[in-house]
Amino acid sequence: MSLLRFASPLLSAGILALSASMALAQDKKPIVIGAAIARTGFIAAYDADPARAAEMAVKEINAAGGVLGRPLKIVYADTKSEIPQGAIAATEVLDQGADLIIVTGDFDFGGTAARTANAQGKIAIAPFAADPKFGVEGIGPFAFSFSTASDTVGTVLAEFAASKGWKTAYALTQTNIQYDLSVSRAFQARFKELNGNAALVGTDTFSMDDATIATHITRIKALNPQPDVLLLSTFTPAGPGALRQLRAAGLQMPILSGEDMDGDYWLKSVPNLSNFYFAAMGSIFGDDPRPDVNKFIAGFKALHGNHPSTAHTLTGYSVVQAIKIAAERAGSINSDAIKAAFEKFKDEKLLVGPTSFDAKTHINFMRPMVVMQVQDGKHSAVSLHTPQKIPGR
Amino acid sequence: MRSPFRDALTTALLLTAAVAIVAAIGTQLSGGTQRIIIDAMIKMIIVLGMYIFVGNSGLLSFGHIGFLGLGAYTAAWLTIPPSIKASLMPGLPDFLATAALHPLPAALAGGAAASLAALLVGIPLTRLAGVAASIGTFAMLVVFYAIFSNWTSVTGGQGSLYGLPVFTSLPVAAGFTVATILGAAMYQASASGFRLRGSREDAVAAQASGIDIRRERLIAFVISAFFVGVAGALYAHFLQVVVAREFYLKLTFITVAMLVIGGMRSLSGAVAGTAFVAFLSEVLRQAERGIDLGVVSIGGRLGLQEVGLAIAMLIVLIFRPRGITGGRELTLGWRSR
Repeated sequence: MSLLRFASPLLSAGILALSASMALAQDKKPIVIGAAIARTGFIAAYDADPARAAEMAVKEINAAGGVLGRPLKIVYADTKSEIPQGAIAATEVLDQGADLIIVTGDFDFGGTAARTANAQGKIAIAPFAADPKFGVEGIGPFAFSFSTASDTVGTVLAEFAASKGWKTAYALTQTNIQYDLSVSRAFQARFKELNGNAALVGTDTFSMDDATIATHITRIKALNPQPDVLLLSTFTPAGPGALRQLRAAGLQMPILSGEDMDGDYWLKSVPNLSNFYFAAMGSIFGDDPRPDVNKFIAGFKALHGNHPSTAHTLTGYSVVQAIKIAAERAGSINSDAIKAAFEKFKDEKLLVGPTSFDAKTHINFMRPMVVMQVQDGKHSAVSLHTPQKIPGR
Repeated sequence: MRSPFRDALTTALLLTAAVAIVAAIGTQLSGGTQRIIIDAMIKMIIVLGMYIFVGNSGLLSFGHIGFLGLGAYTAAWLTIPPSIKASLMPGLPDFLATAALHPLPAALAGGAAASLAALLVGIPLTRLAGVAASIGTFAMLVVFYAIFSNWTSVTGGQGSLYGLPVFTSLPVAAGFTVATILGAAMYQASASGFRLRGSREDAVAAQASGIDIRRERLIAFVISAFFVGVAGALYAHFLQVVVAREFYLKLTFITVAMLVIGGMRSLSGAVAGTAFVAFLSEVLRQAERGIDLGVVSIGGRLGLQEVGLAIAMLIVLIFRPRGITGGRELTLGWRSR
């Protein structure tokens, strides 16, 4: 008996089985991820890149055989950057058979959509909501955020400042959004823990409605000696304006900011900026200390022609990664099963960094962040910094 | 002579029937569609509430969304569980901090709070006439917004208040809409309503006939604030979140537009305008995703809703400057006006 005669039926049977299973994967109903996010309005700029990143992850996972043998598919509904529309958008994607939903990364703007999903017992994920209220407390048991919490941002900045040997700090905080307030609160608490209560030489607040911060600058300049470092907890468009005014007034000390100052789209408005640092979930400039992030950024650039607008983009990819991991562990896409699998996440390796959840905490605190710097108008990564101790936790 | 109450009741019953039919159909539809109908009904309560003052007095109000906000915050103060309230709103007085009411009494309390505010604000405001009064109401809106967004320990400031129980289902929204239609019709048919409309047509003649215009305006203002306040509470339980920026310009303009497009001088106009704008904006929103007619499919275009709505409003106002109903009421066809 020739080997061929023996092998060929086996081979053809194998090919048949393989193609059948492939056909099965294609025939199988896709797992639908509903994205109730802003596609128009001012939030659309924040939601667009994370959604693109999620699409990239979906494409890669589908090419590798999908999840539980089923392909992934994202369906969209526009929240129009309006709070009430969020609920309608969520219901729409759920009506289209979404197994779980992704919402805008903000407690207010993503909250209504997330609550709608929660009321139906469906998982709602905000890729980049940094407010720890986004979770069990503020939304419900099925809400998860893949962001690093705002407290962590403040902590990382304080610990970084201490590691640089900066002994005294001044905190200037914009009051319009919770994020800036809570970054500043954590920074102040941690900085005092590290350098003593006297190390925080002053605090001040400003609002988006303030045309200039001249009075604030005068108060800082009146300090003698000048603080070693300045925390400017703010977001665009007010942030760059404040930064320019500080530098124009001759304040040359290092300035720290949260991840709302990530990205280089505003950099032209502060020419030749130097000595500026911020904490972000990653570097979008291709020099992240983690190679997989750089690989992702390169892939994004190749696909879309430009680097992502901010590092929030990484969370969009990570959400889909996590859905795959959780679904395969649970053997199901059922929301209760996914929730249970998510809550067992312990330093799960995702693109955005190690991710952990438990029954009470549906956002990440102890995740390392990249400290970025701007010198001579150029961004670069300084280091990956793991928070040591977050105040109040 | 025909009784004004019977006329008003006829109109109200016809409008009620329309609302009931929409609600009955709505219960058979999907969750998303139901939400859209509930949203439209809440807006209808707002527009009807505004109509009680605006339609009868002839003074355009830009301030009623402030009452909507007050109703919503009242609902939040009364129904959010005390454990959440302690962290969100540490500055609440004790009797509010410990309150945990059912949404229904809270909604009525929201209306009462709005009425009380309308009474206080209305005393100086009703002295004004014409454009000055409208600007006065706009100033009131700005003051309300400033308080909502800055009194952080009581309103949560720029942040949002959460933890409101679910209450505003389709039947509840329809019930309140019907109650508001009846309330508006009753006021319109009342002696006070007549006197106010008299002042609308000719203030000097009305005063010469012994009508105290300020008093009548104040009555209408307080009643109209009540319904808008109730709508605010319903809206809060619908969104399950209360946030200051929801109660400002955007909602003001859309509700004023609904009233003007429908015809601000009739109850039917208020209902028709709300229904027209709500329906049109939903059709346009669907169109944004593209239309598939089987044979041809038209690609969607994001932002179509806003542009289309503006064009439609312009067309209506060019061809029917007094609104769709032209200030007439819906009556049974065989009866001559």
